[in-house]
Amino acid sequence: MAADVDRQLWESTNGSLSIEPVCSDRADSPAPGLVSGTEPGAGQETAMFAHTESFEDLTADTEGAGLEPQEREASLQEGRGEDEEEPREECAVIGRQQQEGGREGGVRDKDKDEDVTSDAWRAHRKHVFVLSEAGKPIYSRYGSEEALSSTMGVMMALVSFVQSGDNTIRSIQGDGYRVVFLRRSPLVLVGVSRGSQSAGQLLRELQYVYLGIVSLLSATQLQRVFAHRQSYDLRRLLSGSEHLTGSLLRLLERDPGPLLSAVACLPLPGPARDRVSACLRQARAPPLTFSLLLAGTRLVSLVRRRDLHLHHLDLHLLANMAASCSAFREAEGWTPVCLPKLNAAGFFHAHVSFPLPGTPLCLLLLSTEREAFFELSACKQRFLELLHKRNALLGLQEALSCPTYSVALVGVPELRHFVYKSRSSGLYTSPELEGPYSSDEEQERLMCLYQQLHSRLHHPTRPLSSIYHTTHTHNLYAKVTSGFELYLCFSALGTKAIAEAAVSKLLKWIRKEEDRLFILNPLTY
Amino acid sequence: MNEEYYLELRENPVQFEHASSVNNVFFDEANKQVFAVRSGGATGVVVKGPDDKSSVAFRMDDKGEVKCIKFSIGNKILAVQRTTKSVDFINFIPDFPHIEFSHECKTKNASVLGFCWTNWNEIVFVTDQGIEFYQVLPDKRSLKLLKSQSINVNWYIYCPETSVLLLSTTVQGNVLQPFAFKSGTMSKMSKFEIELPVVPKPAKLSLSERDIAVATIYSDLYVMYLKHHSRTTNSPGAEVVLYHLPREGACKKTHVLKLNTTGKFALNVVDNLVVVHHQSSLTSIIFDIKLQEPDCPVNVHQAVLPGRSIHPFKIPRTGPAAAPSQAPVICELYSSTWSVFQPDIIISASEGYLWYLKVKLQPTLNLLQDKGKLMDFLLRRRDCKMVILSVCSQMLVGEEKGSLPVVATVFDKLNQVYKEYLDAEQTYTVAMESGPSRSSSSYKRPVRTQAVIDQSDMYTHVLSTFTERKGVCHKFIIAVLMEYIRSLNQYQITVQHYLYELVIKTLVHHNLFYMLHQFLQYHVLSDSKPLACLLLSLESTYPPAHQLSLDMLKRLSTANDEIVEVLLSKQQVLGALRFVRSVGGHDNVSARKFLDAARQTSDSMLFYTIFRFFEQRNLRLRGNPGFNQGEHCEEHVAYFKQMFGEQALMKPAAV
Amino acid sequence: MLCVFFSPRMASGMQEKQYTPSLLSFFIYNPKFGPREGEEEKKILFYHPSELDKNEKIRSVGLCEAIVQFTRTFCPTKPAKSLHTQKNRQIFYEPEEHFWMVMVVRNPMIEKPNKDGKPPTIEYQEDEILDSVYGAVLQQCYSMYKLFNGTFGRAMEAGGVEMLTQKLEKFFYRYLQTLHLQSCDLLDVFGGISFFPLDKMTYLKIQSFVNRVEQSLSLIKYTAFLYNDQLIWSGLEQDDMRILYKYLTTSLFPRHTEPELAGRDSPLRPEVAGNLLHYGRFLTGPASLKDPDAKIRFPRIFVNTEDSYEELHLIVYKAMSAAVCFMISAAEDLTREFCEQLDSLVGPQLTLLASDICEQYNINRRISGSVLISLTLRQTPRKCLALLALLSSNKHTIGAHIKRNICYFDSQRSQACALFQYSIYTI
Repeated sequence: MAADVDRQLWESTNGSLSIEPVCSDRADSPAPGLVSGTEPGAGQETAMFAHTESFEDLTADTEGAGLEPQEREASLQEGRGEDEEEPREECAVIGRQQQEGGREGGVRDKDKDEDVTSDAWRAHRKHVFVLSEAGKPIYSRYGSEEALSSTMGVMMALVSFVQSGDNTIRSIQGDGYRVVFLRRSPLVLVGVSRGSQSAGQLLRELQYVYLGIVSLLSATQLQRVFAHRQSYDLRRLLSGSEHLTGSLLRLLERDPGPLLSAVACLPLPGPARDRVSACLRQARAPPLTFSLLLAGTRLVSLVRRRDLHLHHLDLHLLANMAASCSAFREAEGWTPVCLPKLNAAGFFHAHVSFPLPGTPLCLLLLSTEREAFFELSACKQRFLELLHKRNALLGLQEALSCPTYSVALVGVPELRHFVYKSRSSGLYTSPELEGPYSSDEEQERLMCLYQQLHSRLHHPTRPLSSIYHTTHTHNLYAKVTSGFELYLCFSALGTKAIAEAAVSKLLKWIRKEEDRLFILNPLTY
Repeated sequence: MNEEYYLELRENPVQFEHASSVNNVFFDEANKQVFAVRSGGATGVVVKGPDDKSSVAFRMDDKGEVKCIKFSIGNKILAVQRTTKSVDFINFIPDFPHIEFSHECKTKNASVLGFCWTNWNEIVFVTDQGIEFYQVLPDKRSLKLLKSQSINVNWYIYCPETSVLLLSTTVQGNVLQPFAFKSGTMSKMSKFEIELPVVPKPAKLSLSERDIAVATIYSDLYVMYLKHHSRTTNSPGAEVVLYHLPREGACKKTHVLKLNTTGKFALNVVDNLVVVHHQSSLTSIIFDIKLQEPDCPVNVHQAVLPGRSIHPFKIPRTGPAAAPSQAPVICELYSSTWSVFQPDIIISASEGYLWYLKVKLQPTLNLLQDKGKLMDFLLRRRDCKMVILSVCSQMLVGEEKGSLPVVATVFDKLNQVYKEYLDAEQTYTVAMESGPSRSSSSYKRPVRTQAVIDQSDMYTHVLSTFTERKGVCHKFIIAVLMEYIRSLNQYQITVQHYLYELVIKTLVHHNLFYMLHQFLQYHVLSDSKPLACLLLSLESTYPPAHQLSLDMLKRLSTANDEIVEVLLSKQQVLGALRFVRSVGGHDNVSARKFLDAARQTSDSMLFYTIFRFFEQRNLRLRGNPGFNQGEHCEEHVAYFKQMFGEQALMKPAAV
Repeated sequence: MLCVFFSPRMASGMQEKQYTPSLLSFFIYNPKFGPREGEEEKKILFYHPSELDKNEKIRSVGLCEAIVQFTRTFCPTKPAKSLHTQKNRQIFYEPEEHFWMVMVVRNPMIEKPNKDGKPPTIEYQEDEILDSVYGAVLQQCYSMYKLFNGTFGRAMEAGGVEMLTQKLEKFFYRYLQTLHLQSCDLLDVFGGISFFPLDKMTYLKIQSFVNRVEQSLSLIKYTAFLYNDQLIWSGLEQDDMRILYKYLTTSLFPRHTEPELAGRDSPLRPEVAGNLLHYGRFLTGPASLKDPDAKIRFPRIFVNTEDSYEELHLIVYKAMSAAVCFMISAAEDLTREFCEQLDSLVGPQLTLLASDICEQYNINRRISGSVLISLTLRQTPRKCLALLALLSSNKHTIGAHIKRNICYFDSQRSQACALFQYSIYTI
């Protein structure tokens, strides 16, 4: 019967899509004030993500979050854990596969060897440190933890000194740099950034780093380890996985997704996408909770268990893990992973594979059963066959070959770049960074600007509905409504008038393109 | 001491054969001619005018002692009076027979007191019983009576410049009857009475010709009466009483010049100053009737300056008798043989000299302490400019440095005159533009007297040197400059920018940038391009100057190009372009100029932005983003491709 | 940065209690003093509140030292400027080498009462206050101290730590009471001098007035001229003037407003023999010149401490709304005769000038002028709008650095934006 329901749903959506891509109840040119759920890119159904604003749930305590029905299984699985070393093993596996596997390894070594008293070390735009409440070093982005142990000792001292005054240290502001402290018992995270990045942004990134670690160990295990021994050296557990944190940080610096707590989709014509999604769903197996199809960090399709919602934050962590372990490209991988937002207490088991060699297409099959590897492997096979049978492959490959689009298509010459997020679906779209933005530092500078706007819009006590911001290099315009969140970047010669005109033009265009840029019909098993 | 003499006898006087038993000397005020008549003219008459050309020499038969001899205006006809009855005429008109003829006065048994020419062929006989106005007809050798008037006359004075004849009538002689002559007409003016110090009993003639003089002062006709000191009236000394004699209307007593001494006096009028010579003290004093504002009908004046002698005059030995070795003789001044004529003539018949009197201004600087009064005095003199300027320089330096209030008043007085002239110029030009034909008659171009001291005069002769001067406290320098600017502003005279430059240079030289900043803030230094450029040049020493100058250029609103250039030179390409756009000039600026500038910054993002801007401009203007040949942007296009790739170029078919 | 001006969007309940930021502590220390263990107390040169337990003082100083040291590991040249914690802000400032001033400000907070007698929950508004503002306030504290006492270093040279600590006690004991942290805002950041809008001619008159007085009273070294608490002329360099202006407008003038307050001006002074009637009076120095044994003492100020380091008498003389500051080298001793001379010379002229200015001002009143005056009266949101308007009028300068930011665009908006990093907010 479930099947019938699904079928109907499938038909109907399919039908409606094939005939009329844009559903009749949607305004053609959305007014800025349109209601959540009808903005361009809004999903036909209930959103596929736990619908949240990252800056809220980042400050919310992770430990509290994620009491989904699935909790039971997790705890069950946890209860079964007579051998709590095991997950560590498997992380270690990832790590090791990594060490021989990767350029990250090389990079890491270079970073690690740096002299922590050198100007070069100080000059880094962002430092991140993780330490235990005992002041023991756990991670440093640059320089070896050993060399930094005394510094980290001071950090811990500062934290606990302020704490002793029944107060909490937040940050230290210097001239052109800031130091931000985040305490997530049993860990303390410290970020040091130069330039314009606000303390809030830095805090967000520290959160990610923390959750990144949780995703490897699970909060429960983390607690337990330190409950055991205060002075435990967590690096033993994490050895080999530091590069995950490194690549996560890089992701945060380049990708607007985490900032907007949204996920980008691979541009794919609606019908093609629906076909792929259908295949993905048909290839399902009982133990599956989520099947994700990713191209890098871009989502191609996601099918989920009807009662579960995947949190974008968990998805970013997954994507980061999948993307940064080159080992998976060689062979199917099988690794336990904690999805802190879903359930920080327990583990999922992820089947990771790159079904189309030479493409970034990555298939992630998540299950709560640790023995399900072969079942899911088979599931992957079925999916590939279905793709062939329903000749969905071609469209997919085309899409993969050009994963982005040019801003010129919008037809606003002054417009340089933009980020559009549909709040109801938690999806965002953003054109390729071309022209002057092809260089890394320009990209990071742009992200920084977006971050500034974001933190102004979502200021905890003085949120703004829109902001126009002129720098020496850019004019930026950002705007939030209940339906969407929009960031536009214009040349330094842009004007407010142009910007306002551009907004409506852009919204029209996105509406026109939405079935290509977004997943309008998310599926469930 | 030498600069104490403020009066002197002018160079090269008129020389003539001095009076003697055989040589009579006459002076004609009308033509300013000296007649030396030797033995009644038989041995020759030598006539010397103000310049050598006008000297004439001739002979005439000795028909008895000559009483009076005068040429008509232009030396046409010579009139000679030998008897009390008649006057003889000799024709001097070129190629006219040199015949002599005579004419008797028509009034029976009246005796001719004298005569005066009012024109080249019109003459007035003054007899003891009246006046007879004739036209002389040389060809007919006769005179035609034009008008006559019978009235008892004691004596007469004729003022040639105004051709007014003054007759002393009544027994006491103190009622004066003026007549005015004008080409063939004679008009009687209202008579008036000179108040005598004492009224003699029994009545007798008590106003003498010697005590009356007529002269024009500040272009008004005055009758000057030398009122002698008398025991009865307890006045401290003699005084000169001025009666203003208008063309029509009653004559009024208007000024009294206090001499504060007694003795023999003589009067001259030089450069509108009344000069009173005092024989016994061998000094002269001067009066300026305008020096005090007229407050009451009769203004009492004191001498402007303390009494001083005329500058000593040396007579060079000349003539055959003169041996070069012999030193020149000092001429005796104020000698009893001197006779003084109006306005400014002194004749020594015994020495055979005619001098013109002259006022030297330089000495007055030290003699007149009150700078304000001094300015009032100097501003009315003829050759005052350099003196005034030297007064200005003098009051700014040295021990007798003036206090700022004094400096201020001096500046104000100068600028008042300056402003009056400017206004006159203004109204004149306006009138000319409005329609020369009609108004040209009524308006004549205002003459620029030496008293008009403009800003360039002040700058070149006073301020520039003053500011360069060593050892002057800069506070004072700035204070003075500000005073001058203040004064100019007060009279709404637009200040020349070189004065501002002077201020700025001084401020900069003493690192008083913040003062400069404040002055600019209040627009004390009014905006101008030169000033803005000067500011620009200061940027290295005072960075804010750059913005100040930009603001100024912006306010000028005529300097948009300059602003763009400045910004570009500072590599502020975006600022420049934003500005051009804000003034709506972005459709016709040269793309190349901006691209060059952007390229120089080697900031690729900037270059991209600028390039895009012009691509869009091209698209808007020509429907194609490409650049024209004329714009010479090929290299930039190439660079753009190289930087951002072919595809980054804007597509012509942009939606 | 601008946001801080706008009142919270949250609907505040009736019974909520709002607490404005307040000064928790303020201290000055020099780590070089008492470096050895157990001598820490010697480092502390001034501490408010003084009654605080000695060890507490040492602890807080210790924290500052630690933080400064810590940040040096990331940026040796530029140590920390402030520390943000949940409950408060600490601002650090090193005005002279090794001399550290620290100001601890409690964050504004909202007290939300709980039902059924639970203790009220306190919510700290950590983002409500700006480092830039309180940093500026702290620097003002130093500048103000320096204006009246000279640098720390000089005090040390003169009388060692004892003298310095005495001076600090004497000065800050009173000064801290005058700090109104809740009313601090962007204007403090600029340390703004507001200039009085005036036509050229009147300005020139004032110029020549100043020059004449300086010429006839040659003792006078610098002169400053104010009207309506706004500056018209300053012979002092800008930085010194900025702090002197702050003193005059926030401290001296408010204490001497009696006659003006009454709406009319101070009574004419016919008693001054052989002298025109005038409204002139001394705001500093002798209360009355007639009292023969009143001491002739004027406050001393220190200017150009960077180079020439001059100590000056500060004479402030006022007639109606016009006030003049005469500054005379402290080496000169000022006699009663001098004061009388000054009074009789300046009084009448200044009285005339004051009425001239008033007249002129009423003729060509400029909006910016009035905006400025109203600033002090208005609520903060309006205040910043007023500030925009003010900044966009070229007549006024708020410190040279800001002036440079005001670009030459026509639109007032763009000028204002130039100041606020080109940001326009719509709320």
